[in-house]
Amino acid sequence: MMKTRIQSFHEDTIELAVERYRSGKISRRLLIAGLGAIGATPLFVTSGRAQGDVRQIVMANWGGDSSRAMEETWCRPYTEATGIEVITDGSGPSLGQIRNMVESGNVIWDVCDANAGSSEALGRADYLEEVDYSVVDREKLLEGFRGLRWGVSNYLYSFVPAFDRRAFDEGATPNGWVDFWNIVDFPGMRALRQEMDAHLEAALMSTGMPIEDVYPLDREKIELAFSQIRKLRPHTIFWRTGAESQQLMRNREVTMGLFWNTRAAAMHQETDGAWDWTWNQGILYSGAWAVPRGNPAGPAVWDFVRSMQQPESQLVLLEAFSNAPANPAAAALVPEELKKFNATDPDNVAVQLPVDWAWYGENYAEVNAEYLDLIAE
Amino acid sequence: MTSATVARSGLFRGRLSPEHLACWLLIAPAVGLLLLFYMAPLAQILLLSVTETDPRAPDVAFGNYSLLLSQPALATIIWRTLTICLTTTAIALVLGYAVAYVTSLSGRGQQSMILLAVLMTFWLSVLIRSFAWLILLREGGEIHSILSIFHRPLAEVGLVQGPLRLIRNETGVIIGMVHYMLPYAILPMLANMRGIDLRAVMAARSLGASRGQAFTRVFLPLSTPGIVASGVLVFVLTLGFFVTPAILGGGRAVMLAEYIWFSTSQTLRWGLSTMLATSLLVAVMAVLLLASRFVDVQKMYGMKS
Repeated sequence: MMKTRIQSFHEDTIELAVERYRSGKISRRLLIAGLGAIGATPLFVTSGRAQGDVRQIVMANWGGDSSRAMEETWCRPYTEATGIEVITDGSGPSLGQIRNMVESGNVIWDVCDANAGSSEALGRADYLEEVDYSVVDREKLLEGFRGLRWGVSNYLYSFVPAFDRRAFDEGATPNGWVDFWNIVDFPGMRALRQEMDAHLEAALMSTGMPIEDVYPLDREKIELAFSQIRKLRPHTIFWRTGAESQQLMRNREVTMGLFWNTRAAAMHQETDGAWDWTWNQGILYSGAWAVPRGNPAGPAVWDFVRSMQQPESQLVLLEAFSNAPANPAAAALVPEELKKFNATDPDNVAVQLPVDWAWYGENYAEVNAEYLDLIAE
Repeated sequence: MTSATVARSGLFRGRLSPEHLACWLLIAPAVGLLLLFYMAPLAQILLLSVTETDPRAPDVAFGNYSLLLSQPALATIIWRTLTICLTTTAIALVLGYAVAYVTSLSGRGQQSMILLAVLMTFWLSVLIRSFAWLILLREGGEIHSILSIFHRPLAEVGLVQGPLRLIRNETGVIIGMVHYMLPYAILPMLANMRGIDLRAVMAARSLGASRGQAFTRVFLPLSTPGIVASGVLVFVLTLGFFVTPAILGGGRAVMLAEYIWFSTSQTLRWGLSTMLATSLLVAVMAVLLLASRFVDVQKMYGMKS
């Protein structure tokens, strides 16, 4: 079956991890530990708060091989430690699915693998429970993602300019979005995503706009960004899934692409560094745990979310998938050779733009429709 | 006449003999399933297209339909869909006609060989075929390498512009779609050609027509119903194409079906997507209605023999 919807970053993470496990790049132990860390982790520690009579927590994730792996590795240890059964539902907690579930009054999910912007959008529309920050520790979140009202930052990733060193002259290294839009000095096809995330920001910076002036976005900036994308469109292939983006790199169909840093990192390893990327002007995103309104397990789910904030478990995630820890305390624990891959390393955070999730929460649906019209026209 | 056809012809005459009742009971599950799982959702889609208003559409009855005129992006997508579908249909008809013609004139053994080859393409999923084209047509792929030999000198003298690109654009979509559609083009034309009395061609020859004249003035006109039938079938099927454009189009050659999917599952603009789905349905029915003026549509799709 072809994927008939845009793949979420989370879904892609799992796919990538399983691929790397199969090709022998990571061990089974690491795969299992990493998959556990995506949801909760065998390393988790409960707060010992009263669980009431909650017997079961349902986590909605993005299915596939990962779901089986999660059940085996993460649900079972959790159940052993707390007596609470954890069930995964891999049918994909898309925006529309969560909306439908809450509207129909038949909520079966307790915690969903969403992202910061969509948690904001769903929260504003009253589809989510507000985060209980007396349980979840705000201090264990990266600055810039502490203010989420309806989601808890779980791991970070970045939309970065990735490039094929073989395509350009020795020493010509693109350094950001101005170079990305420059097809004269950096010839070849480009890849953008068939989804607006991070694209307005990149397009604005391609005009030479300094990173600190990108936000707040307004109509004028949106139009400017659209006109930039229109200019680049004849030289662009649009990707949907992470696997597709990697295919474009592997087949060398493009020389530069706006890709997830995780996929760029995978290609970096596969091509011995021929594919590379720069953190400079990357747009930093966060996944988020979101709890649908009226979830069956009730507030007990927050204790479970809290257990995932452990820095050690988040390191496992970085090693397995290149997904960056949401807890800034983890950065210090990252081994030197992995720092290059860590989007939340202090040096890397300093040159990136943390996404304005509040703006996305309010405007995403409408502006994304415009973006899709733009690339289709 | 067999008893089954007697029963069939009597079904709608209002006399409910036990025999008729049995017939109705036999088809009842199928009718029920169709009503429940096909007609009901379809009705819902038709209804949504007028009840769910799009933020950009005026809040009046049929307001969604005004988007067809007010949104330039929609006009581009519809225009692109029509161009790609018509081009695909034309190419599939020309190629298919040749195959059907040769097949109809060859002997029994050869005929079954050719038919087997044509039908074998049905065994491969459209997904596999699209990816196969991706491999053959991409830069460095086998077909791309061969065509490049001809492309390079043309580009040097300036007859063609830019590098040769066979995928991630409309060219790729058309190649993939023609390949998929060929059996649908061949089979109705072949069925028609088999019914042509070749003695008419011989008569033309004996009256002094050249081979070309005999073909253009006798065989070709006789095969027109087959061409129309194939053309309509291919065109209608291509209108709803989704997988091939999505894979070979590279996100730029977005066609109507892909856009409907987008609006339904990504941007959640159900007013817009159901309006487009309804318009597509109406367009297909209009094409069939138009075709029925030239050929027997019921016969064309095997509803009667």
